[in-house]
Amino acid sequence: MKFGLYLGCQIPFIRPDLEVSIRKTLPLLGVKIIDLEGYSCCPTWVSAPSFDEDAWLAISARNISIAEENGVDIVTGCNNCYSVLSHARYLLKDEERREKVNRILGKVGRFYRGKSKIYHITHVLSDFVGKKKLKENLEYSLDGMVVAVQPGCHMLWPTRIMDVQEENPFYPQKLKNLVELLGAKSPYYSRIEYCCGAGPSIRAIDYEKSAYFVLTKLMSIKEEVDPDFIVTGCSTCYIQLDETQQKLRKEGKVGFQIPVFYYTQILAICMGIEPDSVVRIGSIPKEDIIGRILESGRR
Amino acid sequence: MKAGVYVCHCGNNISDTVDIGELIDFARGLEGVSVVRDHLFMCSEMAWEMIRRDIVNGLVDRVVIAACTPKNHEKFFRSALEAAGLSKYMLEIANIREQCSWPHKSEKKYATEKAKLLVRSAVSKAALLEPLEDITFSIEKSVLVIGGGIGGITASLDLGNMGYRVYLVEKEPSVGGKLTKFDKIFPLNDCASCVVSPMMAEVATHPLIELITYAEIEDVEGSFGNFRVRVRKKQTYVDWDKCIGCGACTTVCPSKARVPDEFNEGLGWRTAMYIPSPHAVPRKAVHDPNVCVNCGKKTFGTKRFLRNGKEYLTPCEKACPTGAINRSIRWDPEGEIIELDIGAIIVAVGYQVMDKEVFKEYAPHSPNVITALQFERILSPTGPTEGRILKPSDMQKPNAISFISCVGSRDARYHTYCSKVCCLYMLKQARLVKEKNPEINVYIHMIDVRAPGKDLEEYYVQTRQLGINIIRGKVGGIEVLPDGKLRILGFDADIGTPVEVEVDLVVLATAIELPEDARKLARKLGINIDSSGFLKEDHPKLRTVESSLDGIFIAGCCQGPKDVSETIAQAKAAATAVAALMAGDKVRVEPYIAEVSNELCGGCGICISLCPYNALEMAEGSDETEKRVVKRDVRTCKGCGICVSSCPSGAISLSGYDDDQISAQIGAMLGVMAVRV
Repeated sequence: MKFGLYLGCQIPFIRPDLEVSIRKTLPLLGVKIIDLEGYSCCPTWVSAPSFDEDAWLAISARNISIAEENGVDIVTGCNNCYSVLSHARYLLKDEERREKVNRILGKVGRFYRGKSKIYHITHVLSDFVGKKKLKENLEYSLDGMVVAVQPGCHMLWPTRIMDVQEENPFYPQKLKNLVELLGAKSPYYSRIEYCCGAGPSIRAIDYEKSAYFVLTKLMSIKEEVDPDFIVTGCSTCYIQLDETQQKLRKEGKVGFQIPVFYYTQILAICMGIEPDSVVRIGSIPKEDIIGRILESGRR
Repeated sequence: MKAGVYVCHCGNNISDTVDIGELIDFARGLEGVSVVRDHLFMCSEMAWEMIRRDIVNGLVDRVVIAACTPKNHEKFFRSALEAAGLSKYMLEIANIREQCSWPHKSEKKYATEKAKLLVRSAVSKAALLEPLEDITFSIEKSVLVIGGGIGGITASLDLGNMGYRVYLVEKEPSVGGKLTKFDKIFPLNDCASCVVSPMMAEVATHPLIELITYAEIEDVEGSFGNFRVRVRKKQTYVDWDKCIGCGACTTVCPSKARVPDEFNEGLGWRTAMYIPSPHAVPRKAVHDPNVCVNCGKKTFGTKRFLRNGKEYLTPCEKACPTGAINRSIRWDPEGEIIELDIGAIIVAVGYQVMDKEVFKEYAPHSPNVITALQFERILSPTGPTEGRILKPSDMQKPNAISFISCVGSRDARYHTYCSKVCCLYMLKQARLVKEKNPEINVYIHMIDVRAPGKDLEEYYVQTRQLGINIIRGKVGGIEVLPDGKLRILGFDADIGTPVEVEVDLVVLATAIELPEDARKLARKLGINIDSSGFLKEDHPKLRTVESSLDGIFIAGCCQGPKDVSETIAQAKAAATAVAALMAGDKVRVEPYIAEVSNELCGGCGICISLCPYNALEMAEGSDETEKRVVKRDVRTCKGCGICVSSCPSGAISLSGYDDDQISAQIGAMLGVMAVRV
């Protein structure tokens, strides 16, 4: 099982501990990671895709063509990259667009064929690695813990562009199942599909509005689930829920704190990987949770 | 030959693009043309008289009209020929509007040249025209009405009262259709069953109307005046001649043999033995073998004896006071076929509403998200709650109800059309809620309120005054809260912000669409379906109840979304159209049908396998010396010409469009005056 790892920019530059958690867990689960050398920005939604379709598709096609050269499908950790690349791949199924893009790529000596599929890391874990292999590698369990999941909207909509689809994006199952595989309970809450507020740069434009999304989401999570911690499938949601929650606490708008993990972080801890190497940067302290997991003892 | 060429300006529709003067000069130069005239409107009375006079005066013995499509005015021009004593088939039309001036507006020179070719082509064909005679058939004076809803019932009663024999075929065990499920209907808020029940009784007792319920159309052959229809009467496993509709069998049928009740839109249950609704006409019991649990292991066609030698009877058999239920008979599960000779057909098969399951964003798994038709059952005194407004999940009264409009309508993902009746029935339902339980908060989420028509805008205003909250904006989704409450993620376009409402019950106004079995029926009948997925009328303004086939008419929601009054109006129009068509004893049809030459026919039979209308058959010779030839049935041949082109020995020709005529037309178009095949 080989995948081309498309890290994007956010994970390696802002949260390199997530990159470590990906690089440490996947090989142990039998997934060979190939680095896509020379990849560029995906390009993220607020850049080229919002003003120049040709430029967007050419840049995305160039990135995907690197995976094609290596004969692998792409796996991303970032929902933004996942969404942009999937969308580009979907639009490039149209022959006219593909020809146009290949004329542009010709100038840099590349060619887009559309062979490599785009997957998110949760797809690889749930649909390729599978339950059995994952369970074999677990050393710690989340037994007795309650987790609220946040898959992130770019992994859910629009389903038609995706290579792997949720049956009902309003009731996403994949991340929930992965979390429950670790032993925790992950009940549904009504704002599960609700935006984290970091979406198309609201965070940069209007902090108040952006924070309102986080507050609404956190209130629904707290009231309906009251979890030990939150697990996200999206690195942007991870940063937003963690950092903005801390800000809301300081502003006195929330009286609680719920630690936030990225899925491969919590997976790494459950697999017995040194927590210090995969959880390093963050606002809401996670030590308590990590301690409780480790205390529960090896299986 | 003395051909008259008549060029129409069509106001300026043609003359703006085609140079009429140049065209006239060109036509004058054509061989065999004796008269060329033009007119601002060739379809006017004055032009008609001009043509007639030319014929009477002996100037012209065949007519070429250069104007619009023959679909528009061919009959009108033919009447001029007839009035002058000439065969009406000595007419040829060159379409220089739809096929020339309209598509070539920006290329005037080219259009003029093309018009010349079209006229030359028509003149060449006109030279070979022959005076044909209409074919006449007798008409079977009976009508088949398919669909026993309010539309079908209305049309049947109108035709029955005019003295025609009517067969009303309904696929459900009872007539009445969707209207029997409704509580009250706008604009008067009168009781729906009070409107439809007397009509159901009347249609069942009318001496000229034969009700064939629980039956479907198997196939249809023939054409206007002489359709041959085979109807499959589905197996009810109950002898309807004996059944008195007492319902005793339905009460003893065990509750484990049950399925969601069709009449209550799945909100209740019905058993394997059932009477479809309290209003059922005919009021007869039906047995559903898919649901039956075979009480006492007694399957159909078997007898079971107890130890004492007595025959064992199932509860339903025992309960029946008239012996209508007998499971020891080997009933044919296929039912029976009824053959009918029919003059004309009215299709009034109605509609279905989209299922809520399609709309994942609206939490379809919640029992408290229901369709408007289900809510109609909740409001109805004959429904599962006996008219009390309760939530299906726990049978408790809701504190707040949201209505969501345009679910599947006006939505590029599903149907782009407006379902037309939803706005008003939501207002009606909201109003009924407020009248029964004013303390319930009611929200209506609409893209916009569409209430055109008599008394309907007033109905909307009155409804608003009852304190109903109308929020203009599309609903993005519904979230289920842990206590089962539903959070509507709406948008208020008037203040431009997202709004959220928490309610206990959501009613979705799902789109009206044509059911799949109606589509199959349309294929059997050979009528068309339009781009919105409904049955297509022949002309959107002029022929709204006629299908593209003569003698087949459409009425009601199968033609497009409609309210009750519009459906009734259309059904009455269809009945009148049928009556007008059948008023004469004979039907006259155009003689454009295939002719087989016995001399040339080799009896190979290729044409028989290709004929889409089954109009051809092999006629065996009377003795061995006489050869086999193909015979064409005058009534069923539609003149499509497929057999003509397939015949290897050129034995078949199409009257009015024979090889010489068509070759002449093509030749003239190409500038080669003589093309032979």
